[in-house]
Amino acid sequence: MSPVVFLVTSSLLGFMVLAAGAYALLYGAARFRESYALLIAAGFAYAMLALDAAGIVLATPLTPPWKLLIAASALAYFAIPPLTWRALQYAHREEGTHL
Amino acid sequence: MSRSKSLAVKYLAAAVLLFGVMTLAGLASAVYYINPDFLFGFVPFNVAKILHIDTMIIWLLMGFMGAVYWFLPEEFGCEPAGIWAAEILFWVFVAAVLAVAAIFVFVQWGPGTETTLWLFQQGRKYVEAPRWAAIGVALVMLVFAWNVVGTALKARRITGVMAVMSVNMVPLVLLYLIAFPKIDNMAVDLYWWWWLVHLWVEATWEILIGCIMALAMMKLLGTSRRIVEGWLYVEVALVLGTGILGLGHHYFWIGTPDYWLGIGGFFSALEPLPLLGMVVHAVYDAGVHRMKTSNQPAFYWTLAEAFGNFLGGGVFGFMITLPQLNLFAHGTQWTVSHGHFAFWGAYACGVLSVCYIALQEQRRLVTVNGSGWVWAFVLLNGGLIGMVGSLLVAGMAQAFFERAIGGSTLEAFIAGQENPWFMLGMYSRFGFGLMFAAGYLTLAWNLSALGRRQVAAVPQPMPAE
Repeated sequence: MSPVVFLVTSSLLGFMVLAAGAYALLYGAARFRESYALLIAAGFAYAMLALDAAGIVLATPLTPPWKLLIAASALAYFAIPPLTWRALQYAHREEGTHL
Repeated sequence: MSRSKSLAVKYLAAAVLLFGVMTLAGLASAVYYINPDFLFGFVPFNVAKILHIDTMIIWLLMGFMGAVYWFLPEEFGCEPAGIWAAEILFWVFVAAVLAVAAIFVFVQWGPGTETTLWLFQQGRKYVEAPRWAAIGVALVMLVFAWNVVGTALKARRITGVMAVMSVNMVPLVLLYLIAFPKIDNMAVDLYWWWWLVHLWVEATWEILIGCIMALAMMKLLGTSRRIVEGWLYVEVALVLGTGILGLGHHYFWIGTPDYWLGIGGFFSALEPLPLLGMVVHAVYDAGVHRMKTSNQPAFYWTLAEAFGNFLGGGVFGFMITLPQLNLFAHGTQWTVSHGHFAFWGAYACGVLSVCYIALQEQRRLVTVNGSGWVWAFVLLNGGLIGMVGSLLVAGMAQAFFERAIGGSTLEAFIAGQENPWFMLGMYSRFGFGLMFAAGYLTLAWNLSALGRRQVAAVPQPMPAE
């Protein structure tokens, strides 16, 4: 791994999790405000994440098992916000405090 | 106020004071990178650094203990078992911390003998305190465990949160015992030392702060016990599932077998996943309560904990956790930036949140508000983000020039330390450190003065809308 590729790979990994956080934040805000614009922004954040993950898989010298892990993580990141939101709504339903 | 809550206030006050010592020692450590002759012949860099990281451990530990003593009588409806012992040990703990700090500053080191290990320091990072002090900490932990478990037995009832906390007391006490052995083989010593540093601090503490935040959420937002306990069980499962074997990312370059590269990398890569769920949960809670509670600072510090944990642990951690990248980043300022952010987010923000919760009840305030806490919140978080950003720049320069290009030779190390990007990071870190210190002073003033002029009344948790 060359010095420049090392820095780029590391930055791509950090950006991937950052984009996941932006996706989760925007998804939550979109559901809370029932805003279509925010939902599109959340989709855009996830697209950034997917693009970033694709870049890691296609352009970095990580070995195949690690690339597989990155790809699987990118898919898991997609599912976590909606599943968590649903679980929260379910948990709060009986309390009458759900959104 | 009950004896347990009085003790809690003492612990929280001591924690905030030690937070100040940690900040001061951190600021001094930052100066050494700019001016290596700073305090030459009086307090060397390593002593300032020891004070910085050891007080970090102790103030957080005291903060956790204060939080637990605060909530314990409410959970069980009675004074904790053995509260008298806890009250005595608080003063023993404080005296020991002062004595150890004095030894670090005025004695600093001794010959490589047993006497040094027993009286001066053990020379192991994070657990430098001499053995007599380590025995004291172990005793405090034992009594703390007795207070928690014994109270459940005394009250003849248990809640889900307290059951988790009680079970967590076992590793909390046992793992600390790794602070004692003197192992001559450095690889073996580090192998077990990481059990203390990772599993004690990053696993048992995670569960402890999870329990504390569960109790805080019930108090602060009126969230039902069923919900917080459900999430606590999920958190425990995730900590056990990803956190324990995540230990492997510390085993990469210390002489352990190669399979730790795969184990450590894999489980560390899973660690950001639960943090993402936490971000969604924070947004949900903020939405349910429309960002309004009777205790705004406690609520905002809780939110800061969720986001700080995600950014510090998740984003900053994931950049350097895979073994191919960790090879270059390990032990640079990059790791330091991750450590600062993760500790701040995962623990410090939670303890500060509990400080405000305790303050509201102790001073019988209907609401906790004003501008003081906002300034403290902005300065502390702004300073911290600036510091970790600066350290990130310095660490990237170090990993790039010293490790990846220079091949980790002594020459490369010196070149890395003199690199303009590294120096820029160090100057900038000091500047943001000053901002953080200003935030600390504002926080200390705010905690001491808040509500002194307000009309007292019994506070009520804001019901969920």
